[in-house]
Amino acid sequence: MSALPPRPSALSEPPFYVGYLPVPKPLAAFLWLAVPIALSILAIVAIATARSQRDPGGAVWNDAKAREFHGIFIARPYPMLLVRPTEGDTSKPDSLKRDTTSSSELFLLVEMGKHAGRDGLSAMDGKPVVASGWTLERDGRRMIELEPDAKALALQETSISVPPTPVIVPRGRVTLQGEIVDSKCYLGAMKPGEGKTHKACATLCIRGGIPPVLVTRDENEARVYYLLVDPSGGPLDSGAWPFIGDPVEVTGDFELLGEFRVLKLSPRDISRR
Amino acid sequence: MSDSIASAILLTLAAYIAAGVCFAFGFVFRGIYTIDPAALHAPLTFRAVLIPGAAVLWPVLLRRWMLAGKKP
Amino acid sequence: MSTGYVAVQWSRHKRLYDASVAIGIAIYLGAFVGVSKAFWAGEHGISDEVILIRALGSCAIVLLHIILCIGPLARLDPRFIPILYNRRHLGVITFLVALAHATVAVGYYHGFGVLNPFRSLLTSNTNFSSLRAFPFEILGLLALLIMFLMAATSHDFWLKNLSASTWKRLHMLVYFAYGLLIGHVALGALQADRGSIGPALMFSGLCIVSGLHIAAGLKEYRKDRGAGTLVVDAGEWVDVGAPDEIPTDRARTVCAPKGERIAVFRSAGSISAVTNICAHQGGPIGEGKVIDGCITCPWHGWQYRPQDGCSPPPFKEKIATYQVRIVGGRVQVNARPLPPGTPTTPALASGGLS
Repeated sequence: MSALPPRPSALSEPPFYVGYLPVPKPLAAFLWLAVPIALSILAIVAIATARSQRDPGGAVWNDAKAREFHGIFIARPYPMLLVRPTEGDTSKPDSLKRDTTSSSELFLLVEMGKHAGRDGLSAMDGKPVVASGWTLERDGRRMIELEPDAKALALQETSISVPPTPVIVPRGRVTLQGEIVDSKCYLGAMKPGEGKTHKACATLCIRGGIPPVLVTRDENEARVYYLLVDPSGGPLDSGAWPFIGDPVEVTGDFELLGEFRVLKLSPRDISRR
Repeated sequence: MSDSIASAILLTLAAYIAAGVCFAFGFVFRGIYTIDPAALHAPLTFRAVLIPGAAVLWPVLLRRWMLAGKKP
Repeated sequence: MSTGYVAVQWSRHKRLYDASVAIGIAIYLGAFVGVSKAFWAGEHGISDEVILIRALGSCAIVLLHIILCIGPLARLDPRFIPILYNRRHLGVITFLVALAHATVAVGYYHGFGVLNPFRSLLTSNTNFSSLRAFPFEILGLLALLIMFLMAATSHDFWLKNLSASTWKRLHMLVYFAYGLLIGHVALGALQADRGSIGPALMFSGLCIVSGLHIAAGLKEYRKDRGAGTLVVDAGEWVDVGAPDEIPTDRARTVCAPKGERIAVFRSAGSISAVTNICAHQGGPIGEGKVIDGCITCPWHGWQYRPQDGCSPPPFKEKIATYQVRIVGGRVQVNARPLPPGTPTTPALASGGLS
């Protein structure tokens, strides 16, 4: 077809590829080398990225089997259950045993999903109840996720041995650094349940009534929790929501409620670090 | 962003997409011939592939459909 | 080239290509999930959903890096062109992986709450003035929208009906999406993680992408400067060289005074010139080859007749042609483009052979 004789240089020219024609041999050889190399790079990046993840911390969501707890219901600032420490404690792993001399344990009570609180709670305030649900626990701090059933939290007719009511002990004004998290995710519902990527979820949880907690570190880098309430002792003001999940410095009135550290906090006393 | 602005944005978006999806079905079976005769005997899979784009870019296609329809 | 449309013009090559991509994604996700499960188990286990979100998100970012590298790689070494050939499928698949990441993330972090997940997405964080607290989700959402637009308009129907320049501009938004995603990752995962491997990987990715683009740009720039732009006859005609300096069935690309590139082909004893820009996706026709008497674009194999710039029937694409002549044993091309599809008289190359 060509009027010109093929020139020697034409033989050494790079193979020309057209998608709908068979791939020239040298090019096919190149691809058989390039594609496996690319796949190996993918695997290496995947392993490196996966290895670079941080330890989310030891936390357990015992969501396999629901258990029953008997105790005194407390409605404010957040739904809680006051239980004798011996109550149904056999399942507790040694690593999570609380280092406390307290004579009773306070469980935060939350619902499934990102909710807390249900109808008729105020009528139960201070009364003996039976609660059934799943526990979440971290650093010896435990929470109960109630079963969705309406009877999962009910007044108890039979008398129980009433645990000693926790005493509120004011400890003065403190300034603390840490992160405001929602207690449910942080205690094990989501791992990790902290930090920037979890910020939106924590906001949604706290908006849905999950008790907010300030996580700080003591001088030994151990985690210390402060349950956050507003200055009048009610649930934390919504003005604090934009600071959830950020590294913050807060100033508030520190109280001990039994074994719980409670911080009375006004949104204007929160600043981003 | 306040809740009301977020709701307004989401409602507008939903209405836009809903209108787009309705338009897209009409477009891939009718309007498409007006603007591109090459689509005349195209298979169903081809039309399905166009639906996501048509549902979002529907104002552009609607304009072209109208303009092409006016031509003698 | 467009005659009748089909959803995908499958070929063996495309099947192999897509299979390789699927294998690559399976390897990535498998390795990520496997390592995460092996190293963080029991009480210290990372939530399955979080592992999935991270695996899918990082996989999409890695795929986007590959997409962005293919273009300059193919310019630097034509052996990468087969990877460029089906880049659109890779783009659509990347969008789907990113969509899966977004779906799981929105469902997990914004679902199960007192708000509709989309409302939560828009309202849960409004700290736009703080870099520390910036709602990185919005950046990812915008990038996902761009990737959706690109994936949804990837069929040649859109290329033709949105016009090639609008389509190209739309698809150049991938660089904007890449920028948004760097922000999404830097202000999201990397900020939360506080490790050093993540930022190091992200930074190397950015260096590779920008380095390859700069290298490819420099190569093109040098080629343009090297291409004979000796102008003769009052700026009308550009010198191309002796006829036999153009390889058989190949082209020599010259730069017209105004900067547009002209591909001058020699085939079957005659010399003709067309624009260097393919009507399909703007591929470099001058790096193409004459196959079965037709100039064939190296990117997707679109073909044009040398003498009139028209695709052979039944195809209807046309590209601009240029007049050529041989004066004193030198090929010259007229710098003024003729309307696409204008027939020209090829210059006879035999006069230049001795």
